[in-house]
Amino acid sequence: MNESDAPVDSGLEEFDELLILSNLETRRKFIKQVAGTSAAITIGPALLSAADATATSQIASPSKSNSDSISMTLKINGKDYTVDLDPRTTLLDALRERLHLTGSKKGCDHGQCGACTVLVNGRRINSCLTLAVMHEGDEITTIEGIANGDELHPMQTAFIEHDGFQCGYCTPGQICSAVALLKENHANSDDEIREFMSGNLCRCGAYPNILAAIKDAKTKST
Amino acid sequence: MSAATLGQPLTRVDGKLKVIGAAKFSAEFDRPQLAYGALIQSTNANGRVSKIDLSSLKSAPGVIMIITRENAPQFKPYPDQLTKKGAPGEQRLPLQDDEVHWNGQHLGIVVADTFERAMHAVSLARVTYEPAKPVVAPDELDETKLLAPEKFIGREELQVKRGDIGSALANAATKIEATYSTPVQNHNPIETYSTTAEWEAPDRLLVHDSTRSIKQLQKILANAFSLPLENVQIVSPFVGGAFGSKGFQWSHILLCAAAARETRRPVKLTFTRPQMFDSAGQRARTIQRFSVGADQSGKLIALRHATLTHCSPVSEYTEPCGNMSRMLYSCPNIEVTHRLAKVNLTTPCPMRAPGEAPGMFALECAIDEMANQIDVDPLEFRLRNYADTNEHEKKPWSSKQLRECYERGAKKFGWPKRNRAPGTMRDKNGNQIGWGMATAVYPAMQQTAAAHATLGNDGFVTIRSATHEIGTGTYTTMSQIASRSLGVPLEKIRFELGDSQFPEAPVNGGSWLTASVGPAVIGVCEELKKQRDAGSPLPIEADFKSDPNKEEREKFSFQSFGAIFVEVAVDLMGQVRIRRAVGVYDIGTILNPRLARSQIIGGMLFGFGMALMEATVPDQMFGRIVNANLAEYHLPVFADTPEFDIDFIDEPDPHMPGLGARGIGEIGITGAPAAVANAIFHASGKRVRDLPITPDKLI
Repeated sequence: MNESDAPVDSGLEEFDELLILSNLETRRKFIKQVAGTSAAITIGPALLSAADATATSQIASPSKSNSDSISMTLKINGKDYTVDLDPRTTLLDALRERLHLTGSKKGCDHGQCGACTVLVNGRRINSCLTLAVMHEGDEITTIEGIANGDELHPMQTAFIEHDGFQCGYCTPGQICSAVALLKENHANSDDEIREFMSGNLCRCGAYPNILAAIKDAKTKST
Repeated sequence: MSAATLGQPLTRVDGKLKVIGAAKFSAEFDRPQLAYGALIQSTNANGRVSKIDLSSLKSAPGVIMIITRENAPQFKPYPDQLTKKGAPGEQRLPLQDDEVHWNGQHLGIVVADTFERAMHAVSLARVTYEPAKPVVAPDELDETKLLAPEKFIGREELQVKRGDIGSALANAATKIEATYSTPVQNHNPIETYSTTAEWEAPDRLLVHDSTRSIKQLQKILANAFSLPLENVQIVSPFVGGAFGSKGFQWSHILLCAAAARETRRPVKLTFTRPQMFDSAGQRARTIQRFSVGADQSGKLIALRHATLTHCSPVSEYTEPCGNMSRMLYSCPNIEVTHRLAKVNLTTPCPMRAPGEAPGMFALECAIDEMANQIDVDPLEFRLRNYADTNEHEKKPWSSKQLRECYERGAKKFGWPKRNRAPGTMRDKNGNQIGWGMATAVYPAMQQTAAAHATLGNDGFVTIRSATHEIGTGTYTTMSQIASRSLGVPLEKIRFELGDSQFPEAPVNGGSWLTASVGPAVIGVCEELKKQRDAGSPLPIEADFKSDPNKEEREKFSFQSFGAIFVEVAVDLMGQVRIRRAVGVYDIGTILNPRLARSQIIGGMLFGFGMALMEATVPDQMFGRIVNANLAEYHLPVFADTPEFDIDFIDEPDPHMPGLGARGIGEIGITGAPAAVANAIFHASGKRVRDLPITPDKLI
């Protein structure tokens, strides 16, 4: 079953993505994708040593060959990006460091803060917890793709109107998460919104304003 | 609309950039040939490094450069101003000796061509040590080894005596003795530290850094590398939260700049989240002993507040817990002391309301305990001991509307309906309900700041100052001030910040940004207006520098005040939920009520995290932080958020310059932890004096 076919009815779905290696479907998909892109690479602990073995670099003469990288195409915000990546590259690092789509933020690199939240086939995931190579063929939406051209998404407008941020660093993740939240039908009460947005940390403490923004956006989008 | 922009709840002028992901934070500036740094860190907390084995690291793919003690450049020592008198930040330069002072100390930097390769390579370093037993807890040390610092960063006195505390306590009708403690805490802004250093020429350094002190960092780097000040440029247009971190001198910035020089490439070094716990500063643990005495009328006659806290072996920064105890209430006999233990933990630094946050937790709990002891309403007890002047400084307040804050807050909250006896309220689910309150207070300071303005042919006004946007709304409030001063619509104002080439502005901290940069913006706009009104041909330019008004500051004591009321529910498992919070604040003029409310809520929530969940836990054997991540260091999430009702007195402070605004960033946290602890006592009858108040302490 393709992940995009899965019914989106529960926030628990996200755990599939979090527990990559305990989910058979996702693991198979991962192995298939990695193996398909580079026959020389094996999975598991051998991954790193394989990278070492192919290296030719020494101090002051870094590898230019990047023989341990994989060519892949990622579809982001409706646009195809072909890029050579170290197979260890997370989706988040691919976005930020290689494709210069820096709207998605890194706050912890461990799936604990939600700043890196993006939409993959309409579902919200922590892009720091998933490897870029696993997402060939997926529809990836980042904060840069939430607005319709120059016209802001109602959620973005509501965040501005209700002051749903201060420093703005967690904001792209909050907005991606909130957009998915409405689609999941998990914005039916204040407490439900609070619960289903609790994976997105905001140290500035804008939660009450984000709550107001989500409720406002929900009203305007229905 | 221009004249009306001030005081209006305008949305943020940088709001759009933030919601579309286009606001550029420091790690997001792409540079040609960018390389990535990663830090080799100590896994011991004390002793010496005997060897760093780099053999497998050197042959790791993509490695360009490794700098350790062996090949480190010599840095020029930090100037005294940054290291003496308990200044925050590290006194010690990195990699100049083999000593190890804390677990996580930087022992080297590795540079590789990609992030993945740098992270892999750094994991291959093998360090051997001559370890020594670390001291991790401040109370482990013999009293003779403690320091007694004179002043907090050369400012407030830390050892204070007034009257005769001994006989006052002996004669008190009611007396309490209590010890309160607060754990190590970390700022944990969601953006971690990031530095991208590049040498544009052998003597020109450009640094994109997540700093809230660009002018200070410019001086630090110019000094360390012996460069003319103007040859160092720091750029920092957006900072992803700071809360006291991201200022001062930390060794990684020097290491990153050194690596960039040696590799002749731009090098980016971004902290991992665990590094935010061992390399980014922290709030030190505090142990605070109180002796408080009152006479028969419920008037305070004695207050002793003895603080024990810690710094690192390479700093003498002191968490000044007793500052507010000197003067928040009227009391003739006072003794405030601070003792400092040098322990093998990373260097502490200010964290949102340094001193006030833990100190006010203890003081406001002690006041609540006194009120209970003499069986008087805690708000009434505070009113009986209201300080009409600052008895420590022996000065009148510049303005103090605390009485109004108490009254308005109590009314909003429904405080008069409170039954004083603890453990008397339950909700329908059987949870114990408690109501608690506390006073909030924070100094209103001011620093020198300057601004440059240009009125262009197109009618647009550009104003520049080397200040910062850390989430407080600087772009917005400064644009509002300029719009009002010039009578130019907000859309035609461009306020630029975050570049060390701009005119001087202070470190963004101490809740002084608006009161410091605001007058500079007003001043430069007045200058511009003079020229415009005189009919000078466009474009016209102006400069202005604003200094604190020394005369006023010598005459008056400047403090912001507030009152906070909370309702908590405590369930059978000892889990505490904050149901609602009311806060009323006297912080002078409100420039933008929307942004002010946001900042106060953020401060209160920060205090709720301190009350209920936040604690950095160092291993007692090795001094390593065992919960250095956001899954185990709990900070408030969405589901921890109560209903807030925030109000402001909104009257200008007649002695503050320019606008009469006092500052807002830190007062929100002060009082919040005590209000929660007091509410928990009211709910359950249990007085928990050790933060955080986790369920194990209530069952």
